[in-house]
Amino acid sequence: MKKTKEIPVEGPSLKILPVTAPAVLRRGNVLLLTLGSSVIIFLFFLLIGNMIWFNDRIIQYWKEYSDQSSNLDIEYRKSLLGKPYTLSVEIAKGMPPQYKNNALVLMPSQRYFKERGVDYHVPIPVVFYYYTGIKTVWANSKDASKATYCFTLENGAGSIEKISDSVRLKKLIALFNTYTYDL
Amino acid sequence: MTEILTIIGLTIVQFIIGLGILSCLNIQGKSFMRIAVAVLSGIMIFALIPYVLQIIQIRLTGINIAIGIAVVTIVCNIQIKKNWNYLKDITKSLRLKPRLYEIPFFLLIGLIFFIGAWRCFYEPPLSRDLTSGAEAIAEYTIKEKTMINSVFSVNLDNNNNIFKSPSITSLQVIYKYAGFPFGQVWLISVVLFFLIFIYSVLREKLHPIVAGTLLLFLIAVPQMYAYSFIVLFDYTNAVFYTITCYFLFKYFKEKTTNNLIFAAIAGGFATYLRSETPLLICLLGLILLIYFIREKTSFMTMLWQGCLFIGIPFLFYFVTSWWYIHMLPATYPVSEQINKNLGDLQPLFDRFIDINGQLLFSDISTALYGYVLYLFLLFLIAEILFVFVSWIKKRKVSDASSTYWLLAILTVYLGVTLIGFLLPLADLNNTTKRELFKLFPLLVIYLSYNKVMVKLSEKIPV
Repeated sequence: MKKTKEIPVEGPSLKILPVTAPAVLRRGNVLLLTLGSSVIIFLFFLLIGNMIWFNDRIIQYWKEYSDQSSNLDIEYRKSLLGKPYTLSVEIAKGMPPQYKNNALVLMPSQRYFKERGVDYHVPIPVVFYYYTGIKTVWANSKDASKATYCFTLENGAGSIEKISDSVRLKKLIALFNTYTYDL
Repeated sequence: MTEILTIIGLTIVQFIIGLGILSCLNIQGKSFMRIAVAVLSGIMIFALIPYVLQIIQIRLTGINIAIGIAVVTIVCNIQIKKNWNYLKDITKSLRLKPRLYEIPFFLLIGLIFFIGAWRCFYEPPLSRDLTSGAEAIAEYTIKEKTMINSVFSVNLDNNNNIFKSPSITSLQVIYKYAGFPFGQVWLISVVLFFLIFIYSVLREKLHPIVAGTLLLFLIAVPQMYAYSFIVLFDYTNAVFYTITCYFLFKYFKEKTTNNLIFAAIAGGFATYLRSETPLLICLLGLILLIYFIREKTSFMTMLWQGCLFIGIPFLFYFVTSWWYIHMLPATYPVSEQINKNLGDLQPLFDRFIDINGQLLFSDISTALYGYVLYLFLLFLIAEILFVFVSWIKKRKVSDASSTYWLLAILTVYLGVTLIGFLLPLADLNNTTKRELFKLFPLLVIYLSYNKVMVKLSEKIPV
């Protein structure tokens, strides 16, 4: 049973519970341990790799978060997929919507674009389809001969044209195959 | 705000499903560990629902999937009274108030987690492995109400990603229907509850400060952190491989078959995520064999428990990989992916050397994997010396747990090398680099059993 000390005051008596020594020690321990936690975190960042990672990633991401949280537009967020996405969407706009579902577009390679001054990593057909809903094929594929449209870039202007005959298709395949496709 | 409520709502349903499984197997342990494992199991059950509906040829509409989830939730909780008591048992010992000295770690780890979670929500799926596979299929599943959709009519040259496990496709479909245009926020739950699981496991043996330090080192593994918000198969696969090991070793300690069954189920979930996991499970089977021999287990017990542990992941492999590939309209010659020249072991040694020289112990090793590996080596050497000194002084070192965790680390270290040898498509700088994620949670948990670490931890007052 804990002893209580009565302090004589006017009115009702005031009972004060004694503060036990272990409780003080415990509180001191907790504070010391909290300090210890902080010191360990400080030491963690003294490791150069951790510090670089934290500065380059976490701090950088935190700065981006401040901007991102005020811009939740879906199209803007999709643009984070980079040029392959934005340029693919631009290319797809050239396709008349009524032909979109049945068209198979022959696509030139990244090097073809680069030679014409456009930095565009051409996505593989599945990714292009995911971005735009348009089916494409590369000239180095055995399915290239099934293409019904093709994309060409001349004098900085790109266009999707319907392939009228097999001779034209063969010429385009031969032309596009002079540029290596990069995955 | 709606998004946060949706995530919480789905997490609660996942918890209820997982609770049903854990209660059915009467899995015991720390409250937070059980909560974390329940949610993680629920996520994987979610991942099975659209796929199973696809197998039985039910249209993958939002309503059908919601009904599927409701049915599974009810089935998992048929024994409502038992589950309720199990839940009460979990909440009884739940301590929600952190200690003051845990707070600095929680704040820092919380900040790092939050930033990853935000990016996971905000950014579209960025990995090409996903946009050329699971994500593309999921997107067109929403439009066409079937996983066998027009993506398979696109030219598929140079792309094997569409043949990968339907697990992520299924989760993407559910979360897209739930109102997330990019899906993928399920990964936030996986990461959060995995961190809770690890912390809870570390706390079984270690002081909160030591456990907090180890968790900080784990979350700061740069490559793993990147894939905690970029969706791919590897992070979640590592999560379930860790859970498999944990429950296997819990079985060794408690000798309750239910833990072994749950370990096998977790191995099945890991297999659902990455189809080469059964190979690693077979290596874990060797540890089980060592345990049987040590315990002088009867041959029949050895046989049926061994078959159970290996069989469930293989069943998952058959249903989720083999069947899926054969269901698809496009053909994928699996046998052609296997190394034809198994007699020539040079590529095996080359891969082993490359894993060490170019990844784990390279100039960029800390940029890739942080300091966990070095911390592990430091304490491993200390433990070897400790055991050696104990042996000289003829003191008995009885606890075999740290040895089992060391063996689990070996299964990944050698298993990943073996996978690289057997499957030449598993290249070093992508597949192997990410497969090594499985190593780091195991290293951290091993450290919680490391005798020197435990001795140090015991010296810190609570």
